[in-house]
Amino acid sequence: MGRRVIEVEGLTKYYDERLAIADVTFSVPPGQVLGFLGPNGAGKSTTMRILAGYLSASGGKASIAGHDVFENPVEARRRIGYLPESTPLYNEMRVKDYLGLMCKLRGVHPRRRGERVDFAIEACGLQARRRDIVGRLSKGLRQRVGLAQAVVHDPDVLILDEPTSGLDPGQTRETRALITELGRRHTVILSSHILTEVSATCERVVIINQGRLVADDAPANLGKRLSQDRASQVELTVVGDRDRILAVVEKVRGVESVTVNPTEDGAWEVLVTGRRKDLQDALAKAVVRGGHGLRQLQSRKLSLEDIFLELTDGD
Amino acid sequence: MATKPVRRTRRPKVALEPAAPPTPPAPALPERPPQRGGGVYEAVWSTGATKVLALAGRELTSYFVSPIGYVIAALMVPLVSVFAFLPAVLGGTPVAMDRVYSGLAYLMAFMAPFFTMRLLAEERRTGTLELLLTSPMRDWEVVLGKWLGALLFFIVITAFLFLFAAVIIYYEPTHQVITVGGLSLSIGNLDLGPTLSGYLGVLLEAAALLAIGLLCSSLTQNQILAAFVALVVTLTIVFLLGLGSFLPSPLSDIALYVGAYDHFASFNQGRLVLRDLVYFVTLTLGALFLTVRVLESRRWR
Repeated sequence: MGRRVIEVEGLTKYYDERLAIADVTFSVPPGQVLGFLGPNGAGKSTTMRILAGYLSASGGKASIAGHDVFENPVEARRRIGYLPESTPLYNEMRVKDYLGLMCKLRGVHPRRRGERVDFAIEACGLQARRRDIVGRLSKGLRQRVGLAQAVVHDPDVLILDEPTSGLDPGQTRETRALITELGRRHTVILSSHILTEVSATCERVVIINQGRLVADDAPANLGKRLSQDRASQVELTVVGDRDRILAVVEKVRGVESVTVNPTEDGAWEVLVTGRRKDLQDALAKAVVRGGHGLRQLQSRKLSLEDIFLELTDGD
Repeated sequence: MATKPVRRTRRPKVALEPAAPPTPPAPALPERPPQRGGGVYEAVWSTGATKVLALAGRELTSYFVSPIGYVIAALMVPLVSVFAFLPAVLGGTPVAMDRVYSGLAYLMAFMAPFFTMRLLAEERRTGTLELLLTSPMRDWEVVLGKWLGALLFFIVITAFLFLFAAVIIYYEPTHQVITVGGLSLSIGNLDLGPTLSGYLGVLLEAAALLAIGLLCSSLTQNQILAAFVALVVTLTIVFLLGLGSFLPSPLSDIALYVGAYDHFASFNQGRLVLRDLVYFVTLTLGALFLTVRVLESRRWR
């Protein structure tokens, strides 16, 4: 089935003179969990707000389940569940009343409202909090209520802007698991500036920088694509004289740069960057042959973080 | 030895996570139950009435959840009772509701901004406006729902007027005897016509002032500022322009037409004049229309 749930074509947005996003084009097939990745201010929130119908675009097209968000905004918005970054909620309401209100505002049939509220409460693990006042919940629970309001009207698409920002690690893990779970029933776009989050929850990553798309691939492929023909890094802990260690290491073929820092117990931490497949082996041999004690040796993989910085650095 | 280790790594140490957890491929999701209910509900929903009423209902209840509703009630009921109702009743001879209504009409110039200051400013401040405007609601539905919520609160709060009317009916010095189904009752001589038209006048005035307050609330995220600006406008409309009669002839006519009190007073005297109705309806719709435009303008920022 070639049908796409989200289609974005040539989307451009200016805030006065300042370009926020430029010619952003992508599409999402049903059921996919798409990660929207970029540094702060790259245009993630702007893109999501346009998709959610909160902002207009200066140019381009966007549609949700075949409904253009500019020409047919009410139908398009009925098919999205949106969670803004700051998780705004009506604090004075009870959880179940709040979800009930959202059902009414979003056109859930009266006969299905009870069932939908129950579903959302259960899916987000809020059973014990049904009757609690939203404003008195902890940050993690608020986030769950935010997710519950996004799914309560059974939308085709969930748009989640930084869904784990400000949560502690436990809550972050819970929220991620919840999003993965929701991703089985809905098409999801989530934004983040945290790479591990995206690689943990998303099947596909779109990287945006300074308003432009710079990459669009599965997280694993992104890693592969960029790690070819790239310098590798090795970290060693060595005991001995600093200058002699430096001399030995620098002599190894393929080594490009070396940094040496003292450790707390008098050894040296040596960070070597080089372009050679068996860099680790060569370094180990050289250090030991030079008569130094080798305490630790470890190869650094090129992380998504590196890829991200590579793609979004500078120009 | 004492030197603290300086890590010169340019990049944080985060290992490449394993590929995303294998989510089962979801081909086209056809198995979802149909989202929409019956055709009747769809037809009603598309008019926007259900959304407007749902929002109005939530605004009405939120007045009673937050202190502001009780503060407004605690001010209005005693003020109207002591300064408008009691003097009228203690004055003896034929008592009517007109003094109560005009007291309320003046008081609303002070109170309406406090009814409305929260409505949109607070949503803007907390960010809930973003959720509201990304729900499948048209901008005018949001505005209408908010305004209706405030008006419903006004109606609930002024329910004490019925009590006043009842008191007057029972304790009115001049009574008339009417016969209902063979029973003859002695009933206070309250003229029903002006009583109802006066209430209509108060209601129309409140509707217009609340619409103005809502407009002010849409302009800022600061409730106090919203209330203050609204107060300036409502006081001008209700009081200041009433002084227009001291101006020379063409100006005084304009001032009195733009001012709200004269139009209200006409209702209060039991006259239903189209011109007064048009005045309040125009003022209300104009303010609501501008509020919609303010909400729309955010999209073009």
